Amino acid sequence: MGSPANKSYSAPFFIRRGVVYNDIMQRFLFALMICACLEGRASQWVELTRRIGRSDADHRQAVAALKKIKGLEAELITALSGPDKYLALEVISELHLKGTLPRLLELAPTDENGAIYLTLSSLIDPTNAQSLERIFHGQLLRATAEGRSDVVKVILLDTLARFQTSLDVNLLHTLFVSPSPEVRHAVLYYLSLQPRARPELVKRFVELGEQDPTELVRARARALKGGPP
Amino acid sequence: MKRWFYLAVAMALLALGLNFLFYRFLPPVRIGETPPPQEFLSTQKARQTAFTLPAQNREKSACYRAYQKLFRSPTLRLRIAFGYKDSRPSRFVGDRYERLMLIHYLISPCVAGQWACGFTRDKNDADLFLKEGVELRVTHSSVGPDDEVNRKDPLQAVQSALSEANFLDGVKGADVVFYNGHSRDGGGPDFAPPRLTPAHSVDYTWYMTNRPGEKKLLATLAGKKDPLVLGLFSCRSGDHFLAEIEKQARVATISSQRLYFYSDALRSTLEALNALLGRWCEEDFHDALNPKDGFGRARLKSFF
Repeated sequence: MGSPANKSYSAPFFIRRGVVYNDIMQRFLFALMICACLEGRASQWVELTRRIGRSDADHRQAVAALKKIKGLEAELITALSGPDKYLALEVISELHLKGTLPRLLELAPTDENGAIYLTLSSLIDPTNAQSLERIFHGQLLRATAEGRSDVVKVILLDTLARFQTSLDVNLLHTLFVSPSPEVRHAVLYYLSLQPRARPELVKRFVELGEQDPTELVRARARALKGGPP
Repeated sequence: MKRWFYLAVAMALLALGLNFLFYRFLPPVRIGETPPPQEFLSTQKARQTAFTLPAQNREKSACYRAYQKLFRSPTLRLRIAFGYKDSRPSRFVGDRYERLMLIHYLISPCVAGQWACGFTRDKNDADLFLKEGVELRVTHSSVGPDDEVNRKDPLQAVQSALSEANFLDGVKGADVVFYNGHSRDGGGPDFAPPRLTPAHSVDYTWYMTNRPGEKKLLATLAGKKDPLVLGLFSCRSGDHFLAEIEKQARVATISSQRLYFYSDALRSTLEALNALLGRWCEEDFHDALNPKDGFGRARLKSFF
């Protein structure tokens, strides 16, 4: 038995120390649990996305399971800036998550692989078609002026072909003098999908295409003319 | 008043100096030469390559001997054939874009640690890329991004035949051949729009039963004597094709036991090309194929 002073000192000290330790341990365990949950959820959507391309049954199951994940859209928006960016883009396309559009439009001007433009293109529906068409048109003008990657130009041209957007002749000419045969091919491909394209414009590009040094472009020009490939 | 004059002169000199420093030490930005992002090709350097092995006993090294055999001719002939990468039930087809993503890396100037770069494009042949001692042919299979439109396009059959010929001719006569496409559950490699069921989904049962792509590959491999590195960057290519290939010919293979997402497959293709051109030794080669943040679980077999 010690003195009351000692008693009054030691008991609260140990209790307090125990409380402090317990509190730290509790906080640590709680943080660990949250991390594990977050990690579990993250790997859950990542794993499900990888199953999308497997078989039709897997595809259906994976999409159904992805739809059930709460707060998925926010997680995907975060993932757009990380190593799982391409998987996140796949989920956005697959589930048609239009809530991600603002973030995708923010990221698009720095997208040199074209994956974000492809996702944007997959989100087109009657409610946003007009505004997205305008954005894609503007982006193509900028991409041409700023010398962005060829894949970006081709994706933008292909999407505008789907919109049946009427593009300026000068823009088409500028794109057609690109050193990339794929961009030149994409111009002819764009024209081939334009039922309302002026015949004299098509004729001019067919003539240019037939003189192209690469067979890829010449073959498309012949097809556009209606000849055998 | 004088004090303000001296301050203005000092500020102007400082601005001139800073301007000089910026233009002297910053890389010039040239329009039309946007560098590719570092997402598909790391700048990680190899710890050991056939170049860096000590000269006195390198002849004994399996790594050195493997690359001596591969680079036996003055020109290394490489082929990369993208298969028809549809995404049924969606109509989207992606191989045309994926090839362009890859080309972006190939024609970009090299930075330290990178070898799959610095290629010059042939002006008359859209698929041919050259750099000192290396000739690389890269083809795609689809003519457009929409499967429904492609099926009606008269050029589709021509493009499919072109990419298939790049692959099979490469298997016959090139040193390195990579396929990046669908496995079709063992029916691949496939370069054409897929055969569909009446419900418009890919007819996997037909592909599994008939195995058309594999039959063509095995027939081309039959009796092959020259060394070849055959990379199959498609889902579970190890399970689907490896056993039959090994029965048919003694070739080095790169295959995966797992499902490949397109970005993983593209990254693996570029990393494998980079490692081969940089003559990376076994451990580094496997690390390149299987980056810590990657997924493919690819494996190089019978090369070293």
